[in-house]
Amino acid sequence: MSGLLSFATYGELFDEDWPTIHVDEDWLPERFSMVQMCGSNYLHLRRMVRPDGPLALLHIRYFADERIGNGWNDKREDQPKTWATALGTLTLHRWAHDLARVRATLRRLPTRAELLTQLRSGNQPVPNASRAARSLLRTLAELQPGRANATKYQHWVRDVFMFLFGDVLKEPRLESRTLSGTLRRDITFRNAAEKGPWFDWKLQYQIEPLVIECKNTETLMYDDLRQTASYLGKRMGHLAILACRKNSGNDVSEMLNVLVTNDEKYVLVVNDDNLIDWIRLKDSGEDPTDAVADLYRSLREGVQ
Amino acid sequence: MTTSSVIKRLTGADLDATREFLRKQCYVEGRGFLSQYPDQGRVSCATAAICVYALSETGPLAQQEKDEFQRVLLAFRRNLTADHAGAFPRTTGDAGAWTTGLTALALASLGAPRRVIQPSVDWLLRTQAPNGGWNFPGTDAGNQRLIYTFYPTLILARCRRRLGDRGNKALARVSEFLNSCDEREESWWAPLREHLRLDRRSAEISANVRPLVIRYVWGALR
Repeated sequence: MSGLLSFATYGELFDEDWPTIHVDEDWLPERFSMVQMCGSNYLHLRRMVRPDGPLALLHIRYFADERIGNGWNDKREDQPKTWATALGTLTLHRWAHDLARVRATLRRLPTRAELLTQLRSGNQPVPNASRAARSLLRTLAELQPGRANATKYQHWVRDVFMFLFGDVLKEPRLESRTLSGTLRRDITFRNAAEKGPWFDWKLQYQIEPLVIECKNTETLMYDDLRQTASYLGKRMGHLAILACRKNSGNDVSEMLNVLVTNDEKYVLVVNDDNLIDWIRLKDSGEDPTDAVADLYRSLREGVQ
Repeated sequence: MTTSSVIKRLTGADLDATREFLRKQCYVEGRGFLSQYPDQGRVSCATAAICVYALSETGPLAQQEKDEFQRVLLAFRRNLTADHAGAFPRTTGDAGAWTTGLTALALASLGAPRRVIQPSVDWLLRTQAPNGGWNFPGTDAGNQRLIYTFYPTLILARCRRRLGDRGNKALARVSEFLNSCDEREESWWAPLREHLRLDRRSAEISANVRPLVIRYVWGALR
């Protein structure tokens, strides 16, 4: 029990930043200083907490967020350190084994904000979902994949993005036509962000208008990606979102990587699972932008 | 799905690439692993030990590689004076409990025979402070810290069966240290404290269960 209590206060250390501790031994003639990374503390915790629980995953999240190329550095310098990379390798390996041992299946690694929310809600009653969130979740549950419901799905995606990012994504337009009139983009938003990741992407990828394509299908096809990518360029920028119902396979990932490598076009694919998680996250008062940033980072780093 | 592919999918980290980074960019043949960065010319025993341990625990190593790593680690070992026989220094200075415990663990993970590891374990048993902790190298009693107690405890717990009573007494003193150390109230150290408590408990259970198992097997055989 004392262990559980001390873990509760330990978890609070993650509230502000990734916690570190410096062991300084100043009585020595040659001062010795050692930094301890929080991520590898998973090695201490692993026999006491579930590998798919929020406390364990916060440690793993550290390694996902703080990676520099093929290693890690405890001081956020620009090159990996030998010992930190060894510890990161060992920690992730043990964690993956622990996941397999308890037969846990993770669709994705939750963001830091999501994990902190889960950790806090472990000690507090979970607030009821708001009416707006409940309505979005209920609508999706009733929406069958397929061409017949394509328009309903398109409207639902628009409503979800308004709910999630309404403070920065403005003026949604459905079926806006390209200049020649031959193509119609499912949804466009005006990216009105003045700071944060949406602002950064606006500058970097010229996405003042953000394109969102909707595919109410369970399997993404090559043509779906090609079509979305075809909207991108000088006018609509180099980053778009493609909403679909189910996870994409390796073929799709490869195709996305090709688009980045050859054309510098970023298509972020989101599915039902992502959007449900983000709705819940937003509803609990957190900002799902981190989760989008995570998706973007995965795509960018996937091609490096 | 393989371990590497799960890790890659969920975290973006490529474990095969991190292992290659350690082997190819951080290792100086015949000398050890570079203490901080790939371009820094100084090798350290502590870094070599953590790298060897991580490489040997996260994937296969060829026997030739294992032999090479064992030679590299043992080259750091102090053998000249009886006081320090079996101990390892962090780099070139005083021998320390942290590095000695860690290097003994790395040697064990390489499959080094008992006679190779035993001098280090004996040194750790000799240098444990009466309060159950270990000092920072070169300091006198009173400077015991939880962090320096970690690796010695792990290797003692790993060798507890063959250490018998000596090992059990040392681990019992670690338990007392956990309740009295300066870091006992600090949140940061909670995972390490609980890890050591758990190892101590496992050692206790193992010591109690083993005679029962022997008695059972002996009874069944008879």
